[in-house]
Amino acid sequence: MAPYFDEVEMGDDLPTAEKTITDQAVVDFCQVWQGPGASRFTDDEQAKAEGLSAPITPGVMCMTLMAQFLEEWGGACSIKRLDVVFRRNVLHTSVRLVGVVTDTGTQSDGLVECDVSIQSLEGDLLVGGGATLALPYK
Amino acid sequence: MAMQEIEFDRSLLGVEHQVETITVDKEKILAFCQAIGETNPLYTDDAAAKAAGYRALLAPPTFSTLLVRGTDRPDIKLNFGRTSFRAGEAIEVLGPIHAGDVLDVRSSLKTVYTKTGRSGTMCFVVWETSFTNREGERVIAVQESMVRR
Repeated sequence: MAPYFDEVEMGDDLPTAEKTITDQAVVDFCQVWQGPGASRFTDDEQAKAEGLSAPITPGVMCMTLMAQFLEEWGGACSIKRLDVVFRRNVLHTSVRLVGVVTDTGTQSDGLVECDVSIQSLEGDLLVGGGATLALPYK
Repeated sequence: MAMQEIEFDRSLLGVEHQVETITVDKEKILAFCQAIGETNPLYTDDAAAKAAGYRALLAPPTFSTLLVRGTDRPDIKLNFGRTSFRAGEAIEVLGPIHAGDVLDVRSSLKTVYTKTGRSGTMCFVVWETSFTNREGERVIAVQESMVRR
């Protein structure tokens, strides 16, 4: 159940989530996103040939995880803007999704600004960004 | 920080190209949802989307990245680096995208610039792409920043 705009305040944390990015999940994503074939996202050799330590998670897959994380809180179709910067490579590993409300609009627009990030389980910033969500109001 | 001169087709800067017209494929939306573990009925169940007042199944917000990837943009003939990575991405959702929507896709090269850091010089290429439906509504805008090094 999405929170009502009226109930949200600046500084509110979104419920933190942990996600494990498996090799198979990346293969499934790449199958749809770029079609079949080895790439630095799915193939160890290809990744190493491009100077990476191991296959990485596509940036748009990370962005998709962030969008799902935001919509788990704000509800489907709540995202009006999502702007992300890929700070570090995200390997196929467990990550933490973190968000905080940074501003609220007016009752008439119901818009809420959030910072959102993907962090390693050790707390390192991997992908950072900002989002605008439209919430229902009472 | 000094800007390194880079070779690319500067005539493309800021010029809007109508790259193509696409039809949003329901099966592609469902495959995308399956791949990302998306279960919200608005994105996965036509009847649920219609019951909620939409004319068809909706595309999740980042489905637009898939639409952008499929577009045929002009080659900017960039002569820099060998490897390309995604540096950033921004989407602005202006309206819903339904299965079956026919969208005009327009792209423009926003900027190309270099930055030099500890790991050397990197070249950033930023594209803007927007999608407009048959009703003339701009439904989504995507800004992609790719880095080459």
